[in-house]
Amino acid sequence: MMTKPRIAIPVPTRNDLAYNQRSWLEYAQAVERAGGTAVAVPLTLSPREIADLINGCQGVLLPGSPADVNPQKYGQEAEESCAPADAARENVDELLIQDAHNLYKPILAICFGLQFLNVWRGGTLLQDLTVLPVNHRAGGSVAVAHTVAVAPESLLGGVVAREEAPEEGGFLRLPINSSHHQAVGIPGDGLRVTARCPQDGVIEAVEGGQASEGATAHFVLGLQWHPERSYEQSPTSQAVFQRFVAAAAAWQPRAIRVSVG
Amino acid sequence: MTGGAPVWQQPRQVSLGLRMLTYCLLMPLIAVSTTFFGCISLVFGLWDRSGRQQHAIAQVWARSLLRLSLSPVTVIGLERLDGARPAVYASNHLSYYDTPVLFAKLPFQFRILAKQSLWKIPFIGWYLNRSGQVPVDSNSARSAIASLNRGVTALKAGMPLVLFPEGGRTETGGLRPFMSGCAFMAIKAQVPLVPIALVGTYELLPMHTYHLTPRPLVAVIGDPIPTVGLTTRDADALTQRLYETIAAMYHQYAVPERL
Repeated sequence: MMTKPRIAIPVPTRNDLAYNQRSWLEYAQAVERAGGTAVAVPLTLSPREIADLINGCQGVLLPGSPADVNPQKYGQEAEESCAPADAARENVDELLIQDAHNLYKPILAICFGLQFLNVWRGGTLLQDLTVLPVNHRAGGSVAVAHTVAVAPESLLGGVVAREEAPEEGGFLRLPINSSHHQAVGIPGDGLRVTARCPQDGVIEAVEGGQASEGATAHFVLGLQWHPERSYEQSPTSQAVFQRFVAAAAAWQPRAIRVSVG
Repeated sequence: MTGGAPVWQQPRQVSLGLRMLTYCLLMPLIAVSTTFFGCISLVFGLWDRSGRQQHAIAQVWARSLLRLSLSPVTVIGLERLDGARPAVYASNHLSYYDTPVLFAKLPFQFRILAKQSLWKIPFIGWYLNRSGQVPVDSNSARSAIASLNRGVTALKAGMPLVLFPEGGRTETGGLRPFMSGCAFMAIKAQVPLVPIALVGTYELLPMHTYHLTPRPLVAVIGDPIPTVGLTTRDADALTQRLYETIAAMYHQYAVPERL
């Protein structure tokens, strides 16, 4: 039995202490139940201190946030509906994502984390979904907001518990919670869409690292819903965290031959 | 342990007008607010097992009391906190008004440690019970240990604790000796100990008086003191460090001319 992998989880926001208190522990508990050790990354640290912290971690979990990604990072002006950005959180996420991509550390990105990862990879976001027929901003009190269609031949498709998500029309139909008002627009470089909301086509999951040694060499999974909130009830949520933690446990430092490319 | 040079003063004799305002208007309104929010909280306690809604009600109650005190509160050092992980927050205890200041100004949910006799008071005791607060009985060593373990359980479940290590209010305005229970719990749960110095609530409402002397209040939050790697044998040294930190923060902000 090897030692528990350490998973870096940024503190979700710079200013909303009540949100941090509610949510950080949910991610940490899901990671710990799946066999990992949660490591908080405070947003007040210097880049040097953050680097020291990440160097001791084998995986990165990017949590949700009530903030929205700064739209200028994907070449748009903020619409009225766009929530204020959280620069401190974005800076920390950037450092974590960069490190994880350099060294192929596993990434699990949830909600805001997925949206920021997508922008970092050169993609765009849809700034507001409220006009759509599906209630994507249902929130934490709604256990099942809608279902998503998951592509069976994918990393996520291999994780989804079949008894929870029956196959229909070639896709696995997984019931999920939902609390977001933005979503992936154009997927970033190397990110494959592996789940969508069947009613309105909203992208619900992306995956794929940029490893030059083959796409499977780097575990990157982004989910628009919150598996940490349904860890108790959903075998799929448990499997997501278990696969992620297992990937972190199996992670080996890669000999870097090319730093860019 | 010594508290350094005393910088507090005996409260000035307040004007008759202010006393009348307090007795005729402010104190009755404080009582109305406390009864009103207390009753609402009891109702929410029927289903709110996490205590989150009851804490939100307590925050509204606390803000209403601060409004009625006519005393603006400045919080210094809030950027030192992120709320993500639990901690033990330890504050000096100058006045009944300390509790509203902490509830109104700490922007996250927490549990308080309070003396067990409060649990026997109707309404207040029911509220304390339903919202999961932690009773401490400092009269008997054995039950004190049991209550400290309840605090450790709350911390390990992710719930921050707020307490007054002096174990009661100061009669003179000076810092009393600290009990080491807060250090013990922080070490047991391996969470940081955060010093808080409240300044001005003694002059606002000292012990044994019942009229308010409005004045600016300050809540100073210090750097969290890490406890990783400490054992309960270090509890007394940690308590001493906490005492010195709170005393230093108090004296830094209790500028005599502002009193």
